[in-house]
Amino acid sequence: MNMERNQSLWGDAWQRLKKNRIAMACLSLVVLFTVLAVYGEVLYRYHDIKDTTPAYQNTDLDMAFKAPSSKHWMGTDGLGRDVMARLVQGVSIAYKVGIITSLIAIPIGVFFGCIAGYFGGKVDDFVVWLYSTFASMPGLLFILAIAMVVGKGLLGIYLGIGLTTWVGICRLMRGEVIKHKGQTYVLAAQALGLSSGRIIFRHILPNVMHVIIVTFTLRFPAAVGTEVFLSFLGIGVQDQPSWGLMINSARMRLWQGIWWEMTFVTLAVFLLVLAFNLLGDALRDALDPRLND
Amino acid sequence: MTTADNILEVQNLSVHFGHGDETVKAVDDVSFVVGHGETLALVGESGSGKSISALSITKLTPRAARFEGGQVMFGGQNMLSLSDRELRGIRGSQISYIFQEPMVSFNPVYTIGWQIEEALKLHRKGIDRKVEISHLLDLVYLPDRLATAYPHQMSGGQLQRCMIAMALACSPELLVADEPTTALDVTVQREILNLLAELSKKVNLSVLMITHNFGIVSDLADHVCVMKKGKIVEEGQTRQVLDDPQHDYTKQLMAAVPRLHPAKGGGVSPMK
Repeated sequence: MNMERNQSLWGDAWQRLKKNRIAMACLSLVVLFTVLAVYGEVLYRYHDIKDTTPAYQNTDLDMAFKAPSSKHWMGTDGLGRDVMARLVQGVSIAYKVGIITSLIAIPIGVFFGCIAGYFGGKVDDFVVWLYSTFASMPGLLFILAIAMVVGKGLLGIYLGIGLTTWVGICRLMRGEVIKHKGQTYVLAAQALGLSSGRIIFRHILPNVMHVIIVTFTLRFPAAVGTEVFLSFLGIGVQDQPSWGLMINSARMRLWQGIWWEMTFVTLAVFLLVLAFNLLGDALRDALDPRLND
Repeated sequence: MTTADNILEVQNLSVHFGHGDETVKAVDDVSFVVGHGETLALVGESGSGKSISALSITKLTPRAARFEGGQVMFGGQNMLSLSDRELRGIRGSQISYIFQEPMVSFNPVYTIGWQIEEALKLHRKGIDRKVEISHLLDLVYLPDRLATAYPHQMSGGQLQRCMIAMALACSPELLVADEPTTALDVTVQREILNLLAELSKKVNLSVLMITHNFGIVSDLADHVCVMKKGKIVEEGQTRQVLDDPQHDYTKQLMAAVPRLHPAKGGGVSPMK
């Protein structure tokens, strides 16, 4: 232990995370997926502006349903399109859906959960009323209604999933904050003259960070899953390949022995979810100084 | 007595919980004063209202508590009529607290140094905080390197020293120590009490000591108030109360101090 060591919570956590080999492997995987997602997004924008057909949309009916080969590493689909190109393109949609819906849902849920748990009384009553109201509406109907308002496409999916799924994390956070509010360190912080906002967000929040991290890693597959059936219903992604659309079309042909499309897409989903989950677990451990001695 | 002699005057304070038939009078018409540089001990068993009285001084009581009357005069103001913002300015800077269980009084995810620094950031602007932290740790006889330690890496006694350092960080006028040694083992208790006594002399600190242990009272306190069921049943100079307790309850409490070789008729007896 020396005085020069980085004193911040995240700095210390990073030092501990670096020692965890599995976590670093997962982090590399996440970085790889992120690069692919950015690449896919840039490619889509480029062809959108130039008004050309990107490689992943090139159809060649003579090449339909070809098994993996040196030319098409992951085979082709029913229209002769290269599965690998579409898979890479799908990363960007999965990322956007997973991350943007989390960025909408988690801050809302965390904020309301924290203030409800900490202040109690009327604030708590209001928040509980609010999330009970949201929870009582069937999520799919709500998403459809939002999609009607903002139009088909990704924006509808972001808002629809984001605004309906904050309830779960809100409930969890409220419970955790109530639990921590009764602890002496919170009383000690109050006795020191800290403001409520600082106590909630600087003192209690880091102690319940694991809830947020675990929620984030679990939301990813759920959000991709929701995107699957929204695209299936025709209100989701329109002109780009998404994993949801690919799984949906591959599923019909699986019994014909066309295994490659389904296999590689599910493998990609599996790897992405696994990487996020393991990384989330490792991060949760790294953020808890008690587990590191 | 006039306010000039006293740092804190609690007058006819009543704090209740619950409503109607289920009202609990946790603090019932309680008055006491703490003089400048003096130590007052509030003594009583669990549930006698001594902790709630202490927390009431800066309105740190649980949300369910209702202030039913009385006033708490500190620095010429009635603390009970101050706004939250004004109270926050006084907490930590003019009135500091030390709590019963040092092991859970620190935030587990931050280092000790970070937590002491936070107190300094809040109430003392424009000082070299690194220097001040090591000065504070010196004051409680702890090595500087503990500033980078996490609470779980330290012993209860060390943590209680840190707690004292943190409480003194902003040179408060009044220190409220809520059973500061109850959770510690006997040898460490002695160290902490000696430290408190030494520091309160050094910086002319007024102390409100909450305890159930008459051993602590005789060592540290100038005055003593004995509480039972929310009321003060006996008060006076420490020597006078110890030598000649008037109230039966005081006698029972004094007899309840565990001793290795109890005098005849003394020793531990459960209170009714």
